[in-house]
Amino acid sequence: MSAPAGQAVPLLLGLAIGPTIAAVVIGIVMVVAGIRLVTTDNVVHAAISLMGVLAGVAATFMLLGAEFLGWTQVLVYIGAIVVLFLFGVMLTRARLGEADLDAPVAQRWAAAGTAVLVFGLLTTVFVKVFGSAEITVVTGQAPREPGALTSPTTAADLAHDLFRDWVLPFEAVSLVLLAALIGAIVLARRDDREHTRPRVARPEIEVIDEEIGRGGET
Amino acid sequence: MTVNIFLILAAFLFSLGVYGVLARRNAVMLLLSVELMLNGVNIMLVVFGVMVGNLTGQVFALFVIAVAAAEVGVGLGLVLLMYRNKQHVNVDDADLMKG
Amino acid sequence: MSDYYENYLTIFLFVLVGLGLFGAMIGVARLLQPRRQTAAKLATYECGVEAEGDWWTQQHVRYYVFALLFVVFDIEAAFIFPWATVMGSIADAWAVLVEMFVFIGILVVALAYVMRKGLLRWM
Repeated sequence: MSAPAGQAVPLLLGLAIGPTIAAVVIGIVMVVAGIRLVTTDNVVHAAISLMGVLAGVAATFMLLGAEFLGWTQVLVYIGAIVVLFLFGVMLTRARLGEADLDAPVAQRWAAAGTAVLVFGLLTTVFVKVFGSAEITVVTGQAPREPGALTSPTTAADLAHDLFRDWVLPFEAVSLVLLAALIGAIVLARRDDREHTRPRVARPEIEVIDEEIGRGGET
Repeated sequence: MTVNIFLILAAFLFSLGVYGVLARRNAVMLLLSVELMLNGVNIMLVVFGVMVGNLTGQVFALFVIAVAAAEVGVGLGLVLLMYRNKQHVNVDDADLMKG
Repeated sequence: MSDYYENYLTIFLFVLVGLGLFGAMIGVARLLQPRRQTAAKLATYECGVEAEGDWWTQQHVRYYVFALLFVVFDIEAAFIFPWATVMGSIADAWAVLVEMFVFIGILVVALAYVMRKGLLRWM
């Protein structure tokens, strides 16, 4: 947080000024993409705008020295979650340009009011509390103390923390993923049963028995 | 760098998410807006982590990313189910449980 | 100390140069090309069957299952990368090894579930 000794002159490229300009540029991109996301009439465009926002967030992470996290954002969010969204759009046939994408006008005004309120509240708190506090991102701490921030954070730095202090949450994440996968499949899969194939895994005689039995009942 | 650049940006993303969730009726749009909120929070976590000077914020953000994926998976599963039963994904019409 | 930013600045400049080259080539071609458009030139395919119907087609739900599996194992990969970088140097290497195999084991259960449900078969 405190300014390091050797950084008296703000060089244009690479040092103090550079990251700020980068932050502002990235911020503008994210704001534009985000506004487009919540106002567009086209679900596919919204998903693509989300991609812009996510790329901006990834760039922000890297700017803040969270290098591994930034690339994870690219890998998982842009690479996988947006793809999932696009599949969701394709599957639900959420018709493009349809009017029922948005809520009624009154509700939209209320939503805008709430959003402005939230933004105002958060911004006021941040400005009051942090004022013009500075962060120095690139510290380049050579010998690593456990738990302390090295910046930029490499995968190894993060792993030292992750596998020492956060073992239980880490295992819990895998359980959450397992539950989510099974849940989503149970929810989404039903029409596979409708035009289903015969189960090859079971012996044929069982299937025949079952059919005969069911035939007898009716 | 000033902390507040990032924090206000994060707050703006979060507010956009709030607006999107409240103002949209398409369920997929709702989920997209939730992602905006999650990303705003993620930026805040990382910034605060840098300010405090440890890695906890980044580890949290990593977990948030992983859980967000699970959330999208189940959420879109629900949306698909709704689409199959109703041929649309308008959340205002999903009022079977309404008294 | 600012090597970190300079590296990314280099990448950024590369991207800019790439975009600039792309734009220049397309732009010059656009400026120089003669433009005489006939119906045959504007057809979608020079030869082949014309596409029919709506461009928007309903996809099958089974694609969604594959997308889900992809997401799950993508996240697994995102956790395995940091793990792989420290396995050689971390203090309790055996404990960390077991941790990761428990993690992978739980996700293998997911894969086994999907396989048992027959969702991996393309039918």
